[in-house]
Amino acid sequence: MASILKKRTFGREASLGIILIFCIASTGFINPRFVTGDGTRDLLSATAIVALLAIGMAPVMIMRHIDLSIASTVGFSAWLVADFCAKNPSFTWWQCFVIGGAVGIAVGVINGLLVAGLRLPSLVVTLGTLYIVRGGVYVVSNSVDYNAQEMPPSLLSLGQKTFAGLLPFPFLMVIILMVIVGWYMKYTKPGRDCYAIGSNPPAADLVGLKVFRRTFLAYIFCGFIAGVAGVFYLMRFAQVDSTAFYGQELAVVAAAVIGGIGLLGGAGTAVGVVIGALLVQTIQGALAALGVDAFWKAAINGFLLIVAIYADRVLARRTEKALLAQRIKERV
Amino acid sequence: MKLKNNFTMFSTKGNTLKKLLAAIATAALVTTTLVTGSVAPASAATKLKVAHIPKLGTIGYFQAADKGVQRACKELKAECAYKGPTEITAAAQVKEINAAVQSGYNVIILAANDKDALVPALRAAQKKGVTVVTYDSDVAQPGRSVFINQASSQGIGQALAASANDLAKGEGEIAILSTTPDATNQNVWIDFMNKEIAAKYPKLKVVATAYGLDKPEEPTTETQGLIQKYPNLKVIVAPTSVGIVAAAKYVSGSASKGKVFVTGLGLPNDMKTYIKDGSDAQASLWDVENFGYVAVQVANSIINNKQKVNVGATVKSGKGDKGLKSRKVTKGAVGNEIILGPATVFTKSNVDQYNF
Repeated sequence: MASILKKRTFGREASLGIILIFCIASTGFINPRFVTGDGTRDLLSATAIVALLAIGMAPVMIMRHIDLSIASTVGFSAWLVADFCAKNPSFTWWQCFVIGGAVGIAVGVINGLLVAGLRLPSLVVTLGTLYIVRGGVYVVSNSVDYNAQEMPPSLLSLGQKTFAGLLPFPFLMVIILMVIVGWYMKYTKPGRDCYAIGSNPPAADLVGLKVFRRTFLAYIFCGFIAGVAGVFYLMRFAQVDSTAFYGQELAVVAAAVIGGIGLLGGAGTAVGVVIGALLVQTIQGALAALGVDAFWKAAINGFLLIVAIYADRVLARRTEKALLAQRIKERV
Repeated sequence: MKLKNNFTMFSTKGNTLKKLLAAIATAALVTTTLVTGSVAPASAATKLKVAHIPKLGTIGYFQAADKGVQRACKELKAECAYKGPTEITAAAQVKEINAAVQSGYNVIILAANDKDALVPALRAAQKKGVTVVTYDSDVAQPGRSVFINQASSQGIGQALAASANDLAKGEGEIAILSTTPDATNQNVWIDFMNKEIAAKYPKLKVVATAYGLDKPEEPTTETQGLIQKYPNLKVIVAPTSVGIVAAAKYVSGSASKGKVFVTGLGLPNDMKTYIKDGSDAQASLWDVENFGYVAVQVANSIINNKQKVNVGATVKSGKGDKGLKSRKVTKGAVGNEIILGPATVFTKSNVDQYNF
């Protein structure tokens, strides 16, 4: 049983990986500069923020919940961090992460209490906090925006740092987080509990799983990652105003769903969502590198997403059939 | 008492009547000032008391405009105050306008937060003899004497073309990074820029126009795409303050730094980092400091030189005006306006003189 599960998840990620490689290769074939060291580095740094957020949201979605407030949290965190830095020029990168993380945790606690504590539907609650937090940015920011001048040089240079000539610092963080979350979700009891809760919430309650604690902590984690992602936003763009990251929550949900996290919970891995995020960004980057007309970009983007999901589903079904056939054969 | 009741009962009618009366009163006031103005000797100069009300006090852009206001006031030996609201709303500005009228200011220099909401307060101010000059963003015609507009679209197009030519060292491929395909301002500027390039810089070749919306994410991706698609690209022109920063940030952290240069419309403070960090970016904008200066000088011309500001008139704009010493009043979108003039290009050599 365990081996079949393992193979199934592997099949899902493998199929996504194949589509990803196909996308990169075909773009590279038309425009070779897309696959050079520079191109790869660009792709990875562009993916980092969405990938981080998608990993952060993975446990929440696996438990059949959602957090739509993340993009607002990113904006709030980014603006507040920039504001603190502008008022305290002695700040360096680590203070940015402390402030950003704290902002995120605060939002996560509110979401967690409402969803896990009061058992309100997460879609509505986080839609509410999406507006509340964004409203908060508008009020607090008072139309003031910040640019590279006001941000700590140590933070900006950290964002530019690359390892082995290819791996930008933000994406290194994505890989580290992916490994930690992937391991935790797969090999620890609390991690497995999340899958159980998502597969069948009432049953999870009945068998005495700590539904409140898992959900609450998942929201705090998701909020924390969103707060940290706000600092990565500053690193990447070095400019922030009250509309920062506006409306990007659906890009994160798209990356997570493409990466194999079902909206009905109970399935998906951190590795999957990172590949999903890479796929979304590859499509975006490829369209820009091929010089596709802006009028067509959004439509092509949506079309490719559906094709990607469909192809993934076909491949997944094929693997499933093969596994079933193998099981029958083994029994015989 | 009965009359009052009638007024409240037919409040709309009452308002129209009030408006009519007010209009007659203003007209009478204007004719009297004009008549007496043409007779009275110019030496009896009214001492100006200028209240400068920007959209928001804390923004560097308006603080820069206030430097120009101060410069003009010093020259005219006028009294000047910066009355920056703490929030960017029409209500906050109404408060400032009323307070200014009560404290006896006779000139209001205003960058409006709302086209219509400020008009009643401004009308009340004008009735008490206050001269209102708007700049940067206008109110409806009855609320002000004249509007000082930013650089002309043609001026912006010319500045962008000149900057692109400078960065490309006279020849090569350039690309445009705009906001959306249907952004009116950007399209007009791009149009003027293309005309200027065709006329003056024939060796520049515009190879592409990309669109990045007005947020940092898309322009970054588009800049990447442009550089990947056009290996010989020399300059990216972004006539948008968000896009130019996103493009410059990307170039400054990529292998293209020093090979591909970014210019466009942007605030010097936003762009300072990339102008000076070896990416050699440039940016253009109208001279915001001169904005404030011209506004005060025009108000002075209206009050003390009794100059008219209707369409077609010429107004003295002071000896410290960085453009012309007198300005022509033209017809703008809302009504009579004075155009500030050519845009300034910010480069390594001059960017430190600007702080907005």
